[in-house]
Parts: sequence; C-alpha cells; structure tokens
Amino acid sequence: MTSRRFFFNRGMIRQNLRQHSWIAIIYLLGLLFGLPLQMFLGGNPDTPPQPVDNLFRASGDLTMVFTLTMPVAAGLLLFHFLQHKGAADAMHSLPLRRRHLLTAQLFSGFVLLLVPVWLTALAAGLVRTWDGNRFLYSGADVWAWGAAVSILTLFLFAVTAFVGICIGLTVLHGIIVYILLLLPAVLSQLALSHLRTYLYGFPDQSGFRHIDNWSPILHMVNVNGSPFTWSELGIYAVLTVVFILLSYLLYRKRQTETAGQALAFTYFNPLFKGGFMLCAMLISGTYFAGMRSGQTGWALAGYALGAVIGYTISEMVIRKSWYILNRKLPARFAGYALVLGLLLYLPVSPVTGYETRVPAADKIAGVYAGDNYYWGYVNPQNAAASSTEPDAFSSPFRGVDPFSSDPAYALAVRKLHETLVQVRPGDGENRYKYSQKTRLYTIAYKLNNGRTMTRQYLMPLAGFEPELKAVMESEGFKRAEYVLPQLDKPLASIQLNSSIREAVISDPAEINEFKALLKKEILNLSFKDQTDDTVPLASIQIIPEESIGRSYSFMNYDWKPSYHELGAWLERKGYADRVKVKADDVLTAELAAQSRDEILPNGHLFDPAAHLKFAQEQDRSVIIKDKARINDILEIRRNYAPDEGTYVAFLKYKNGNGEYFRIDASEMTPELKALLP
Amino acid sequence: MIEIREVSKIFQDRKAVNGLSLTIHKGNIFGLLGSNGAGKTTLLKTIAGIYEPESGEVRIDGKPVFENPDTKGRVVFMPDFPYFFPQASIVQMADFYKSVYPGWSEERFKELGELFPLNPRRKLNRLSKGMRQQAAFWLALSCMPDVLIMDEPLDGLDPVMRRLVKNVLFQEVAERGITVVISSHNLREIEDLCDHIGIMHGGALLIDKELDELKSDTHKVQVAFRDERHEHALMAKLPVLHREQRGSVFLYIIKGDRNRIEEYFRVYEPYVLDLLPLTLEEIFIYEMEGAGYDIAPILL
Repeated sequence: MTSRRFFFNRGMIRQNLRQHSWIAIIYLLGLLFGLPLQMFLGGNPDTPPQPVDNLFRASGDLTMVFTLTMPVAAGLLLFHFLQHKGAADAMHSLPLRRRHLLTAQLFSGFVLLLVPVWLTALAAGLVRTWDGNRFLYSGADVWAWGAAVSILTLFLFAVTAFVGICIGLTVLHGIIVYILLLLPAVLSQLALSHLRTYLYGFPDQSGFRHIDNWSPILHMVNVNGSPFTWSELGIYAVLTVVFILLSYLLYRKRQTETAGQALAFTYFNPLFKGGFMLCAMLISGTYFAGMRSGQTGWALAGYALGAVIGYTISEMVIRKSWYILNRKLPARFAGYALVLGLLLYLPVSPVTGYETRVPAADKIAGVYAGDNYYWGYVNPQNAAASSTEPDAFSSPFRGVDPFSSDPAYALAVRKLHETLVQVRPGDGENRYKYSQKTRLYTIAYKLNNGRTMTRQYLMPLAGFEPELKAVMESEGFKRAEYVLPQLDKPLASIQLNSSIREAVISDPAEINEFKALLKKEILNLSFKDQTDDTVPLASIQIIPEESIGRSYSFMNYDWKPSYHELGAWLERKGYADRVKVKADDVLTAELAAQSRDEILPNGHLFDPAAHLKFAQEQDRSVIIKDKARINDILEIRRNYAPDEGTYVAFLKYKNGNGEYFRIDASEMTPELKALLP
Repeated sequence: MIEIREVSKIFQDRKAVNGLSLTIHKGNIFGLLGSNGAGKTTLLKTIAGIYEPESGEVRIDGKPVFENPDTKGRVVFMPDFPYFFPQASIVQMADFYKSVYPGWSEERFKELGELFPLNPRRKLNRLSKGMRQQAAFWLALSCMPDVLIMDEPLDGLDPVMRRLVKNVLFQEVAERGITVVISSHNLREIEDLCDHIGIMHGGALLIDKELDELKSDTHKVQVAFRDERHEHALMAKLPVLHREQRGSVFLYIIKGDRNRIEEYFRVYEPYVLDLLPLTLEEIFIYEMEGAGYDIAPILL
C-alpha cells in the first residue's frame, strides 16, 4: 500500500493536472484548428478533394507551431520546481524518492500532451468522409499522423525535462532547449561553411534540405515539404527514451540547492563555455571572412571577436552577473581560446593532407567529374535511394549511377585532380565568381573500400585545356554530365524551343531517330564544342513518360550549331524551319562596341542594356534593318558577356521580345564593321 | 532521536555547515540560534533530507533521511517562507498532503481548523505572510509528524498567534512526544519554548545545552572585597567566564554550583556580595566570550 502510493503518486499527478491543464486545452485547440478545421477552411470549394499521402502535407506547418511550443511549455512548467528555491525545498522535503517525483512529472506531461494529440487524430478520422473536406486520406494516414505527432511531442517534452534537470534558471532552461534543438543543423552548417572557406577543394553541400532536417525545429517547420520518415521518427523515439533515462540518472545526482544557479552541474560549465565560444567564433569568423573574402586579417579578427563575445556571455550567464573581470580571467580565456583555436585550425591545416590527397589509381573503383553531382545525383529529392516520396517526385537522375569505371577516364580525372591540387587555381577566391571561362566542377571517386571521396574546384579553362580535354571528351564524363540514360527511357515527346518559336516531336519513330542522333552528337562533342559559347539554335526538352502527372526536374539539351547530322535531320523533317530564328523574325538589330572599362552610371558590368545605352549616348551604336546583315549577326552571335574588345548586339523580334548577344571582334564580318560609325 | 554525525555541507567553495555533530532526543524542543548566515537553515534542510551532506550523515531513529521516504514521511519541514502550489487553497494543499504523508489525520486537521481563523477555501497566495505561516503550521501538524523542523516559524505571527502556536507545540510534545527543531536569530522569542539550545556560528555548533542546566550553572556575582588581593586568590579557584571592575566593585560571571561559589566568597568576608540570576541573553553572551568568540556579530 505505501510503496504503491510512493511509486506512482496520484496526489502529485492530480495536482499537476489541476495546475497545468490549460496547456492541454491550448494544445488541443491549436491542433484542432491546425488540422481538422483547416480541412474545411480556405481553398476553392468547387475543386474536388485533393489526395494527400501524408496529413502533414495537408496542414503541417500550422499544427507544428503548437507541437513546437506546447511540449516545451509543459516541460518548463512541470520542472519549474527544480529552479524555484522555495518549490525545490518543499518538493524535496516530501516523503517521495526523486525517481518517483520525476515519474510523476513525466507522467503528468505525457497525459497533458498526448490526450490533445489523440483527440485531434480522432477528430481528423471522424471528419474524413464529411462533405467539404478538402483532402482525401485514409484511416492509416490518420494513425500515422497521430503516431508521428505523439513521438515529436514526447521527444520535445523529454528534451525539455532533461535540460530542466541540468539547468537552474527557467528562462535559461527555455533558451537552452531551443538552442539545443537548432544546434545540430546550425553547427553543421557553420562547420561546413568553415571547412568550405579554408579547405581548398571542400565541396559545397549547403542548400540541401537534409542538413536542415538534422534540427528537429527546422524539420518541423519544413514538414509540409518533407514529412518525417518512419526511420527519423524511430530515431526520435529512441532519443526520447535516452533523454528520459539520462534525466533519471542526472536527477539522482542533482543538488537541491542548485535552484537559481545557471547550470546545476558544475562539470557542464566547461562544455557550456566551450560550446558557446565555438558557435560565436564560427558565426563571427565566417561572417567576417565572407564580408572580406580572402583577407586573413579580417577573418582572424572575426574569430578573436567571436571568442571574446562567446566567453564573456557564457561567463556572465554562469555567474549571473556582468562583473566577471578578475585576475584569473585572462589566463582562463587564453586556455579556452587556444583549445578552440586548435579545434578550428587543425581540421583545415595541412596536417590532414585533405587538400593534396589524390587517391591512388589502383584504389579507384569509379570516378565522376562534372557540375551536377550535388544538385542532381546526391540531392535526396533526386537520388533514388534516399528519396522520401518516390511517387510524387522524380528526376532524370533517379537510378543513374554517376560513377564510371572506365580506367582511361579514371586516369584522366586523376590527372586533372593532381594538376589542380598543385596549381590551386582560385584558391582563396570567391567560389561563385561568375565567368564563362571557369567551371565549378565536382570530382568524386568511388573507392575500393566502399567510401566516396569528393572534391570541388573552381577551375579556369585557360591553363587546364589538356587535362580538361581528356576528361570532357570521355564517354564517362558525357554519360553523367548529360545524363544520357534518360534518353533510353520511354519518352512521351521531345520539345524544341528557340527564343521565339517551338516545335514538338511526338511520333514514336521520329523520337527514336532523334534520340539516337542526339546521343551520337553528344558522344562526339569535342572539348571546344562543350566550352565555347555559341548560341544554341534551340533548346531540346526531353519529356520522359515517367514525368507525366508528377513533379519532375527536367534536364534539357542544346541544339548546338555543331550538331551537323542532327541539324540535317531536323532540316529534312522540317522542324528546323519551324523552330530556328531567321532574319525575317527580327525587326531590327542594334550593334555597338563595348568595353569592360566603361563607366556605367546606372547599370552593372553584366548589364548589356547599360552598355548599349552608354554607346547610344556617345553615338557609337547603329540600328540595322538589312536582312543580310541581320543574318550575319544570327550566324556569329554568342552568349552575352561584357568582354573587352567585343560588341554588344540587341535583336528586337517582331513578336515584341528582344535578346542581347555578344559578337567577337575576330568574327565580325567586314560588312557589319563598315556599318559602325 | 535525531543524530547528526560530522555533517558538512558545501555551497560552491563555501562550507555552510562544517563537521557538525549533534544529538536531539525524542520529545525535545530544540532551539537553534545563530546570526544570519550561521548555517542554521542549511542544517535544518539537511536534517529534513532536502540537502544531501557532502560528508557525515543524519539519522532519525537510526535510519537515514536523505532519499528515504519511510523516514521523511514522519518528518515535516516548515520553511521560513512557506511554499504552496500556485492558486492552491488550504483544502487543496490538505488534499495533496493527505496523498503524500502516510500519517495525515483528517481529524487533527479539523481540530486545528477550530484554532486558526482562516478560510480553508481561500487561495493561499492572497493571504498575508502571517496567515500563510499559520496555514503552514496547520497543515504541518495535520501530517502528524514525529519530527517537526521549523525555520523561523514565529517571525510573521502576532503575539496572540505566537502564544497559540507555542501552546499547540507544547501539547504535541506532551501528548505525542514529537521532537521539534526550531531555528531563530532571536533568543528571547524562543526562551520560553525550548528546553534545549544550540548555537551556531560559521557552520559550527558552539554550544549545545539544556536550558535549565545553563540557567542553574551560571551566576552573576557582584562583590566589593576588603582587600583587592583577595581577588587573585579567588580567581585561581573558580571558573570565571567574565570579569569587570567598576571602582571597587567587581562583577563576575562564574560557572558552578551557587552555594559553593557563595561559600568561596564568604571566606573573604567582602563588604558587598550579591549573587544575581542571568537572562538567557546574558548567558549566551558570556558563554561565547568564554569560548573565545567575539559577541557582537553573533547575536543581535
């Protein structure tokens, strides 16, 4: 009788429920508003109900606002007694063991938080077949939603409980909970950006949702786009159990008198200080390094500033006072700064050999080189293996192995890589400096031991022609870069678009002939064909059958002037005539010499309109209406760039649109030259 | 019986209680005195099992207190500022205590309700400090504790209530033999309540004595000798705590049996000889002076 009273103290739980039930009520109202009610609000009442594979897609973000806040609020309130001196004394004088006290608080939290979730799931299940419901979903979807939200709710509550046991101030408690929940994503983004800045060749993997999803908060905010998978929920369930077990363990050791102190366990102080400093250093250092690219002094000042700010703030929080100066402070600070400085420096130092490492030829199982590795092949939305929604989204990259095992190609890539790590082009420069004469290429090796080694370089074409030529003329390169396997898929149609006209090839026999020719042309592409900037005659859009009826990221090709065989076929079939831009389509052309050094009052260097306007004002431009001359321009036009000693050309089409091009001095016809003033 | 053995409690490098040993017998009302910061509250919270001592141990009837619900169920701690759940009324608190303390007596709760002029349905947070203290006292005694630990319990009470509380305590001790530990920085307040006194300073216990023993054991002697040389002869024979000279009149505080002291003095046939009773306050001041402590900061 007594033992039961102590183990599962009903009075304690009853008191908690009496005191904190308002949380459950708010949570319930929030969830009801966020899910079942949203199924009837908004949208066009005439549109038929929309099928959803997951209730998060119906209205995830709104419910998540409450799932993100209510469990934390419940945790803060239920564990407030640890942080309030009077309450801590009163509760710990009661004839209850700590584990019974903790059990009572946890159980109360579970009841307060789970009942609203389950009632909401019940409501969502009840209104499933009602008239006016904007969504179509199954009973299993409701179960899945209920389970997912239950796990997330319990996870957040368990984290809050655990942090509460380590922290002695309620305000800090709440702040630390949210910082911890953001930290996995923020810290890895910061670390990646740090490595990207200082490690030559470190690939840029930012901008992919999967890193954001490392933070429960960011993932929950993004839940509409990427609902939680069962394996993720499994991890959160395991973490929930771990945090609860840790709570029991640490609560046994927690001293009652730490109520009111920042951290309840002094051995967390160095961790807190170090972690806080590291984040501050990374943020400040990365900021200054980004603002003053390539200037080491600024970056170092940024790290130093971050270290000072991080140390000062963490010290102030721990001591709960802003009077922190004392004689020992500089020495302690120096100690922390040294350790963290090494922690930041060592991974990017030459010690690791990261920058110069090129795998030995006999260790390479496959190679990749090109510029669509991350966004195309690795991005989980595109890649086959890790995709969450194979039915709703696809891409031509799905199922294509980017690696080639051709030894000759591997040798060529290795050669290029070796040259790059010796010459180090673009070292310290901004990686995304726009230029048509540079390539941002990813080099990836699949090694014999099953691991993948990836590097990314901004390489200028100039100076690397022999190495690049060997790589870019290989079949392995072209297969991955132009995603040739998509041409082997059943195609619905092929669309040709120029700036003003379009044509569709839908006859299956023609599609097959076209595919074969295009593949042949691509495999025949020379280095020069791939790097020059001639204007394509049309863009070729491949529409695979699998793209019909779902989101699809299309991969297009150019109809290059050098595709003679394909060009002849298109002429023969009449498509060329229907899609090519001809002199008759052009109303007028305007031409002027341009220079990089021109001072453009209202425009940017890359703004062709500004260059042309500048020339007009100085009466250096000419307007051409002669069809023969316009034809000349169409023949020699290139993609626009403000290069020194070139010409800017503006073609005004009869349909009202216009386009800017560049003409190189070496290709200007004498007739055109004669027209210029 | 409460046994405190070599207990030390450290707060961030500061020893609040320093190797303190003390035994409080069943049925005693033990008064713990000391200035602010002497370590009284820390010692009380350690006895109540709220704090875990860094070293040493506290046992009640031979069993440890910390994390031991069996013992803690018989101990009630009343802090200087009583804590109640937010928004709770006395009835709700009683409901809660009933579920937690095995000895809770509904009958006692009703009985005590007659004594305290409080509305049990009013929210406790709206009551004054004194009324909250009364409520805490009411609830604590309804738990029928064997050990009642009170930190400055009489502070906010008016004289009538103070008398009432004292009477209830006497009654509890007499009828049920409960052990009471009371802390205070004001010894006059508990002079007529305690039968045993401990005085703390700097985390240590300076004195631990029965009040009657203290009173019968120490005497104030006013004397005018016929010859001042008699004084030296006497001083060697008697335990003198304090000595003052005002002209030809000497004032001594002397420990020992009253009759024997008088006999010693009579031998020298002084002009004047008076043996006077001491107030509790004087006893402490002189006792501690004897123990080599500066009085001023210890007692107010």
